[in-house]
Amino acid sequence: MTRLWRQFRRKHHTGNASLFPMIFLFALCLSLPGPARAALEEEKAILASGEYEDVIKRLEAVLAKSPENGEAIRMMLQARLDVGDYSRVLQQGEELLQRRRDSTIAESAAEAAMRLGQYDRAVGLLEGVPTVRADWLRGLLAQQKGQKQTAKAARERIVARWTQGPPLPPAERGLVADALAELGKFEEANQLYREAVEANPKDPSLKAKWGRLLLRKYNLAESEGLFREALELNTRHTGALLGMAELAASRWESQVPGTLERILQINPNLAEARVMLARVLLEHDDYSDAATELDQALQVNPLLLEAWSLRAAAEYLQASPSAVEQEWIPRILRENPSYGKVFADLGDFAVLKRQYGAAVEFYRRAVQTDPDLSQAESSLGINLFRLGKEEEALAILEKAYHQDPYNVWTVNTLRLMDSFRNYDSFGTSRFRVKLHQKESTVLRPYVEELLEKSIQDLSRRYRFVPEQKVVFEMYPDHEDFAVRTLGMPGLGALGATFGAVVAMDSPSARPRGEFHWGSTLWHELAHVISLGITDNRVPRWFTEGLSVYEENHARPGWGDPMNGGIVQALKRFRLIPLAELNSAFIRPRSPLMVPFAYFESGLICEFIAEKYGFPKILSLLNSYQKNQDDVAAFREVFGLSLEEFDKQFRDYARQQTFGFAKAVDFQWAGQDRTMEEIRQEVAKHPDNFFAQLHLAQALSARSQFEEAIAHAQAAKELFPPFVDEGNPYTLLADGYEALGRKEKAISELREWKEQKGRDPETFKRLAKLLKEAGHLDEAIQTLEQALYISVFDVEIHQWLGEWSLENSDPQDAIREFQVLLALDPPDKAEAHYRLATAYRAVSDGEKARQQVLAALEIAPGFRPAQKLLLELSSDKKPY
Amino acid sequence: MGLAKAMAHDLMENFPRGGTRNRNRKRLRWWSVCWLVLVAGFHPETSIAAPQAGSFTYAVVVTGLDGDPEYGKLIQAWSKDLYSLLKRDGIAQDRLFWLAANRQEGVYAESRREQITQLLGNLATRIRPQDGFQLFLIGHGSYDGYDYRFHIPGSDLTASQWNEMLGRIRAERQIIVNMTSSSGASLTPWRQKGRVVITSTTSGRERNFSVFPRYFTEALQNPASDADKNQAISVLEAFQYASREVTRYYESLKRLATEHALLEDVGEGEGVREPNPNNGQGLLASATILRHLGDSAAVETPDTRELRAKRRQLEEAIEQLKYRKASMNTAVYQQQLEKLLLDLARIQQRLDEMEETQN
Repeated sequence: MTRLWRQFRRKHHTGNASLFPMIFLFALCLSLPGPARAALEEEKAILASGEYEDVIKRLEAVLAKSPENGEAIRMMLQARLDVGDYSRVLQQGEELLQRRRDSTIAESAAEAAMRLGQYDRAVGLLEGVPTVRADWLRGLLAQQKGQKQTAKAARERIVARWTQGPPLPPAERGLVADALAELGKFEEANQLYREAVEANPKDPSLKAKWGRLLLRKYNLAESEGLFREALELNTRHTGALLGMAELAASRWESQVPGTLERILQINPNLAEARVMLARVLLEHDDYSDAATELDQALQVNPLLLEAWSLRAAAEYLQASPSAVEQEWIPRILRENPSYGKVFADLGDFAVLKRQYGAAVEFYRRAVQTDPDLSQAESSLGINLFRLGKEEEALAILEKAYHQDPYNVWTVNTLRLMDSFRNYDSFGTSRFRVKLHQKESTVLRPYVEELLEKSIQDLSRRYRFVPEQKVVFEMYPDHEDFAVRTLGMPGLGALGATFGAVVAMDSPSARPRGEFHWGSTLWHELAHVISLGITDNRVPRWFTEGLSVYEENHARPGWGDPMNGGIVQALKRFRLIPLAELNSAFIRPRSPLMVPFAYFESGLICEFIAEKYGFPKILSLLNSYQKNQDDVAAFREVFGLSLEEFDKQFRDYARQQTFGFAKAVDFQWAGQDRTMEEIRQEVAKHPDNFFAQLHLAQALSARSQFEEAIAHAQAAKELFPPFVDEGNPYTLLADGYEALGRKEKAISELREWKEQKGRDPETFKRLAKLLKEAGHLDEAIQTLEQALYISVFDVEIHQWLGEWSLENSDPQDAIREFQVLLALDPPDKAEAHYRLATAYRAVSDGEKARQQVLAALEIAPGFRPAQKLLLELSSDKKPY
Repeated sequence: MGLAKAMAHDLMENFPRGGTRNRNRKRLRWWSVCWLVLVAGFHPETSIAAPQAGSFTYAVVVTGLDGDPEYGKLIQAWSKDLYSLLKRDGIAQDRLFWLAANRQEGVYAESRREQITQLLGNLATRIRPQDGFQLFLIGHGSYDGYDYRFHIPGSDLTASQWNEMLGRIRAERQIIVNMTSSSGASLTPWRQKGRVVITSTTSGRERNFSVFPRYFTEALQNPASDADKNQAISVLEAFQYASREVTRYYESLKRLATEHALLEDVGEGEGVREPNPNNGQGLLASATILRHLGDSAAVETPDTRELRAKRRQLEEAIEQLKYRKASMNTAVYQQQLEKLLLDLARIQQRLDEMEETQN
């Protein structure tokens, strides 16, 4: 009642005489007999809870008895709008408007017309309607046609009404908030939504709209909270469900299609849901289903520019640039000359296909067409940055920041760029390298050497040399790397390549021993090659597969081991069909799927190289360069369909994964059984890997080494790739060492290393054993391999320095002692002294003198350094 | 050597506690003392700095409850290592005591309150002012906002209760190393003049299991912790080594460090993470040797005495030069440093030759 009175007061104050019949109508509503009002209260509750079909039936019954019941009519129109029965709302609304002037009916009819693409008809229906909602609809209609000034004027009228007029009811305050947001006044919009929701906490639409605003401004957590609150009030609220779908899409979660299908069951004509579904399908290269969705959306609204825009994107993805440029873009711009979003959409899909150069050009056109598209401006800056064009990117991102200071991608990237003052930059013959100052001295020698080696090796075998110098960056903070890659923190990957720009975690970004940075570097450099050869047209699965294949073959022991996660995924998914492999990278169904997709892609490349020969890999790259898809490329190169290829690959994969890791029974992975239970299991199932392993561990702990060796050997043979803590190799080495058979221990640890063992301490143990056994070269080599896992290990550098000197290799010793000093070792005086001896060995007396003085400055009484100083000074006069 | 000791003692006695002296003087004294003490050398039996003739070192290692079995293994292993090191370093059997929650070889008694009280009570009657006293606590501790507790079988011992027992120990040179979780809360109650207190955490709120004892023990075994190469590992060097390695440990795991060790040796400070002349902490710790790495002192003759005196002068000159480094031209500094270092090396060479001849 208060609401009606306020509406009346507000409308009365506007002085519009045409509202008089409405006042009468409200009075009529108020004078309805008690039971009728009570009945409508029930209907309102049903409508609010989302039982649209039920409420429509009930209202039809009410209207059959009282055809002029205004409240029932309005509710009926709203319910039909909610289920997408737009044609009927439009027809019914127009009929009613012939009999009476009612602004709510006019608004509903206009909204229906707008949703059907009948924009002029909608504008006509709103003529003379002075309400907030009418202006809100006018704003949307003008926006559809690219009439920015008209849209702005409509929104300013709404805001003026709020600031200058009497208080508005919560639902209309929500519309004011929406208008404020469209005018770029986001903080005021947020505040107003808060007030409106406080005033009417039971309105799910307000919460959903507020949530959409927060989502638009990158506040994902709070937007999700609001969507959930809205859905608690109405589980079928399409606005809130759409918000949840957008949220999931922004997180690249796999449940997006499911949520959208649920929305379409409630409202099959909701264009936003159809368009979003089509977008997801296009992301999965499912062009046919995407087209079906877009057709359905266009049947509802033939002028839906968002759908036309995705039509253009679909043509782009299917390599029909003429259809994009000559058909869709002109058609869209004829309808709305400032519809820059089509270029933004094309840019987004180009990024998805790693066509960063093309994406930049699309984003440029997007902001030229609609300078207000701040997100496109931001994407332009980020993608210029990905192409290594830092200066231009910085200027563009600063502009984007002024347009939208809330854009987290813009802000994060600018912050990262600011932090570049803390990085050392240097060039090599083929790279422009950026390393953080705090670790540059330590990393530089190894990074520089590996970069040059990797590009030389890959270029030779793939017959491709990148045209420009490759930008290579390493980030000690993983979140900085994630921002460099996505503009957002939270990325799980270790490295990323954008054509000729490579960014990756620095070794210090990950716990020691978990990250083989050398292997990752090689992996990323392989991307530079495969992307370069194909002009970035190589499918995701193949570029990843090739990179995995390359790192596996770069050096013995490189590449990721087949760990427990891969075995679990193998047991769960078996193999992902080739046709679905790309999707496993983009929207995985489970977190296990992404590492598994890498593994399987690598295995496919291995299979191709083994069965068909490496040149076929080059042929495939050639096919992709010609813009062929997987089906065409496999037909051309192997004469096989994807299904036929899958069939061939399956047998190979089974063999390479130890019969899909048959011996690995995760029920036995835990160490919670008694010795007796384990013994019984081993007797019953000698092919149970974990049982054999646990038995070996238990026996080793009891120093029963002979027996432990037998079971560890059995475990090793059952599943050789297991190199994690408690692996059979170290158990065997323990046993052999205890029995005094050091050469056997060495041999086991060598095998562990080749099987991609990662523990730096085991590397050190092997190196020590090798040195003790007189294999100094191999010991040094082992330590050098350990550096790719644990480059900040003081002991490794110290040993390498000392052993290199021992091995008459003072140049390497110099490098190692220099790095050691950069690591702030506990014994600095000793490190300076050792470096001095290495310099002396290469006859660099001056540097030797500097270093020995540095040692003695710390420890003036350090005898060996004193002796060296005297020798260097050739001054042995007696005192 | 006698002169060095006397000078060290004198300088330590005059070391400023408050802000009454100017800072430059304080820095100069701090470093001067360091070199004097470090060049002096120590006999294992007199491993507390500046002890008087006939003094002894007493050491007590107390291992608390295991907590989780995983921690228990570590606590026991570190305690055993520490006990073995002290034993190897020459502390006599009847002056070295290891109390632990679990019986094993070397354990003197169970680490129950009654046993600890009894032992410290006995030691209070035996230890003289000129003796040295060392206490090492390893295990779990806690802090309830009022008092620190060391977790042992039976009733725990609070910081106040420890303080009462330690107060009866008359040794003028004491080292207390509390390597438990929440040990930071014990620093203030335990600090006193002539006592170095090390805690593995900054406050009682750092409650996680501490890995500091692992690196403190490692420091005593690793010659690398002897940063100034004087063949002796001081308390300060062991503390610095352990602190650095604890930091490295957390960094290597990409984990936020949950412990930050403190040292206090003035008797009235808050304890610091990086003792240095500027904060006035570390003097006593640098002069207090925990482990001797080299041979004992050589025979003295009039010639060697003269050479050693010259060596001390040169060492002092080097320290003074280093102190002035920041205000000097780099080339001039390097030139002067090189000259002094060369002179020092020549004297050392001569001394070595003389000692060789005598031997």
